Amino acid sequence: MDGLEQLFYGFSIALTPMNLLWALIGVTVGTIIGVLPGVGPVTGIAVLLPLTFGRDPASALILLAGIYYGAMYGGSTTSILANIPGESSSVMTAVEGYELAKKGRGGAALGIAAFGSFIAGTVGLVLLGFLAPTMAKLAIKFGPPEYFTLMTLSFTLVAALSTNNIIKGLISTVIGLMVSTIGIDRLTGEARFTFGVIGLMDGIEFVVVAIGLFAVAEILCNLEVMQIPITQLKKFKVRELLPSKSDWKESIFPILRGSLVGFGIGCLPGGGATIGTFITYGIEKAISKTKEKFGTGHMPAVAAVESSNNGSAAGGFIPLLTLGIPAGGSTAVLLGGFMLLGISPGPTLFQLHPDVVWGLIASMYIGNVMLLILNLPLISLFMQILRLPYAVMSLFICVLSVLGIYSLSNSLFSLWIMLLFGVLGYVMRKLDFPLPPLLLGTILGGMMEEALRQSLSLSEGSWLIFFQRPISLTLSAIFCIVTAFQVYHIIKHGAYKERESDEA
Amino acid sequence: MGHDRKSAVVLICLALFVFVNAWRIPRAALQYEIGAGIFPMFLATILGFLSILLFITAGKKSKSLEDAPEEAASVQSDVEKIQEPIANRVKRIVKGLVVLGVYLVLLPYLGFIIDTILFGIGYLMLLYGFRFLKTLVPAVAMAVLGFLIFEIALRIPLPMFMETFR
Repeated sequence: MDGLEQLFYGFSIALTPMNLLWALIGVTVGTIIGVLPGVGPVTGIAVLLPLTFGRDPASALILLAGIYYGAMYGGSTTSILANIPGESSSVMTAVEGYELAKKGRGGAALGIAAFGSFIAGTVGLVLLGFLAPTMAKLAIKFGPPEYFTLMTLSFTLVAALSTNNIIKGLISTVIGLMVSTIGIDRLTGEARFTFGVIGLMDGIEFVVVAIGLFAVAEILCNLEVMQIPITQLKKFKVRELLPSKSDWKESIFPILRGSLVGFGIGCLPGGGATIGTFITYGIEKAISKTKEKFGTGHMPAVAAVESSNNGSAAGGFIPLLTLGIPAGGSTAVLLGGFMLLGISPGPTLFQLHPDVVWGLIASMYIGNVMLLILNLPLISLFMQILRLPYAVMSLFICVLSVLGIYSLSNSLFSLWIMLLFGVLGYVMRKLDFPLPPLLLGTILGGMMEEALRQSLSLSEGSWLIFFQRPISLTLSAIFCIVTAFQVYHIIKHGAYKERESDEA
Repeated sequence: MGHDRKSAVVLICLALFVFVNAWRIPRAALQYEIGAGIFPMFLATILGFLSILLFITAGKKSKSLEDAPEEAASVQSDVEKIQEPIANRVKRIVKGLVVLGVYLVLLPYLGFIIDTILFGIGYLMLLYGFRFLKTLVPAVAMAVLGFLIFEIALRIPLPMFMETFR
């Protein structure tokens, strides 16, 4: 099977009534998660992950992916109408969109954001459908040394691109990798860092880490600051949400540029949606003939950043599906979802599980259409969720987290570990240590250790193996250049960069 | 000593702890077999190096916040938070952890439904200052919703009254 034939095969799976229902549930829940302030896609997917246990893998992943890109869509609504970016990738949408809402053009801004997201999602998925199999064919040549250097490079890029302090990003990753070493070693049967505690023998499930770090820590952080209730929310009719001809004329090229930039950045490990939106905004401002309009409520800016946001959501699937390496926090949780369902993403995924991968890609096309249909007429309804007091919302997250972990392990011990990671996540957030790299380290730690040990076995203990094979040599060289640049930057300017951490 | 330096000291201790414990893991029997301690020792070494780097560079910031609107915004929100005494905020966090802890302790004894209703009432009253009557609807709704989703729809057995689990 190749090209279009594979895609049609995917549609035959995605269009079954059950999978259509899962896609609909996914995008609806995702949109709600995106609308809710303080509940990002990572928290949302992590908390809902246990609901997929025992499901058919294709259906489960269709649900999870629907939540992921639904959250990307939903984030724009609160950003534009209430100046509350649900997650960091919606910050630039809030800057421009809220100004438009104040001018009475909130409806059109929501409309252009929804259409822009739809176009970007479609462009991204077309690119994903064509590029992913090619990447997978290339990745099949990867052996353990290549995988180890690739993961090392990815971790470094994640630390460099997605946090505001490179050193803290790397420390976070290393702690995550250390967490992955807890438990009985699969190769030698030795217990590591278990200290005689039976509950630690099987290691720590990444879902426990994810829910603790994101959901519980989020609840603890929000206990510090009481949320302001939102009272003034306007209701919209569908007609008000349709952008005018002039809006379309000035926004169509920013939408296409945003889609491509977002997709490109999304493909990079650590790229994530936030960086994509900032770069897109910067490009649009630089090439615009009306630079003075930026920051005052500019329709093309909203169109571009929202397109970039959704383009990167599709782009993030390329390294995930072809290499098994997530680009950011959300895709890291998705990777964990794949693993829980007994599927290892990577170059062989397209050969071993074509039903899952092509069903997933086809469902994303369908999900995009569903999101457009949902987002336009139901915006007012989704906004009503904001009237729900945060206290009740956080109670719901607490109970769902406890139930999720319990259903996974049937053990009280895992619940205490979740609470422990909640405290760790809270402390790390307070001290400005980014959380997504820790999660990434926990998920990929096992694979990385296996790759390292297999490589050293192949080379009879010589670490030079990472510099002797062409692909690993190239990856090692890129790693050395990136690290050298970072060390130079740290020595000259200090460890901080001018950016917020990225959870997307 | 700033927060970053204190963190660096704690992390150096963690690196040493991991290294020593990894060192104690028995070596591989065969000459070129890679033992279970190698990867943790490798990680501990990197963590030690990074922690020293964090200690040295702590407090150094490259540019003014004026050029970074997002960081400026986060600093602004921090300033707003500081207006409330830190003791009050810490008290709320500890209270939150205690409420959640009690919920987990009682779960095997009271079962999911009763424990969740009590947790909901305690959570909303103690942490968010809700009146008792106002807590009833969300607390009961949460317990019923959780039961319906997990026990009925997903067929995942939840702990019931006086039933203990591992």
